[in-house]
Amino acid sequence: MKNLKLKSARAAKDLSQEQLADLCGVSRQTISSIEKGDYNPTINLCISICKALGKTLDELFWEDDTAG
Amino acid sequence: MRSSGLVFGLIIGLAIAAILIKAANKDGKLKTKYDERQEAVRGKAYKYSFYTLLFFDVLRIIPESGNLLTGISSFYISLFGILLGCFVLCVHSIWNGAYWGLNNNKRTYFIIFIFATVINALPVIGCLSSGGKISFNEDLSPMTNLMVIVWLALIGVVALIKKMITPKEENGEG
Repeated sequence: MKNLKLKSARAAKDLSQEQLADLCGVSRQTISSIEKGDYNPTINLCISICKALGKTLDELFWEDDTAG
Repeated sequence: MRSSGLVFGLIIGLAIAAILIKAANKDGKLKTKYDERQEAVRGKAYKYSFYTLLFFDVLRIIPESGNLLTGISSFYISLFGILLGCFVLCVHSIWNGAYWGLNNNKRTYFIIFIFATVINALPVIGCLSSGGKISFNEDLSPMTNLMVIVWLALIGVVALIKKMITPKEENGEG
């Protein structure tokens, strides 16, 4: 499942995938894979991303319960 | 005498490779750094590479027992297996964005690839220009260099295709 929250949070900070990747110490392809939902990051990387974007884990990685 | 020369050549080659890798890494370290996703991808790539080599070794037993590859020296059959295994490793890594490490300087690596191609092309050109024949019969002949050149070219083609088919938004800005 695509992580649109991450993509919009990154865009809100006016950061490119490359810039966010540099801040988190990972490759650009890894950020791209997370946004596309192709890769599930470890909790350590999730925390790094949250710190770089000034968001909480819930805000970026908690899926909304749409099932009711 | 020939095997001691080969061992000496391998040691010199490894030393040169170590110096070049240190020079090509941004932090001047020998070890290339990968992130967690890249490590996972490369782990799979090594696994596929291992299975390829294993499968190839099983296959080569069959024609050898039937003397079907009598014209080809066992040196080249082994070299082909090694290059095939490395090819699988490289292709899987390139295709999943795990070929380049975090501390790699792509530009320097590109120069090293060109340098390696030229170094391998020299014996081939020398042999052909002197009217020599490149064959699979003699070990360590220019055929070795030719096989490495073809291998490098194939890796280059795969990298180019991957770059071309990667969507623009993913290639640069996301």
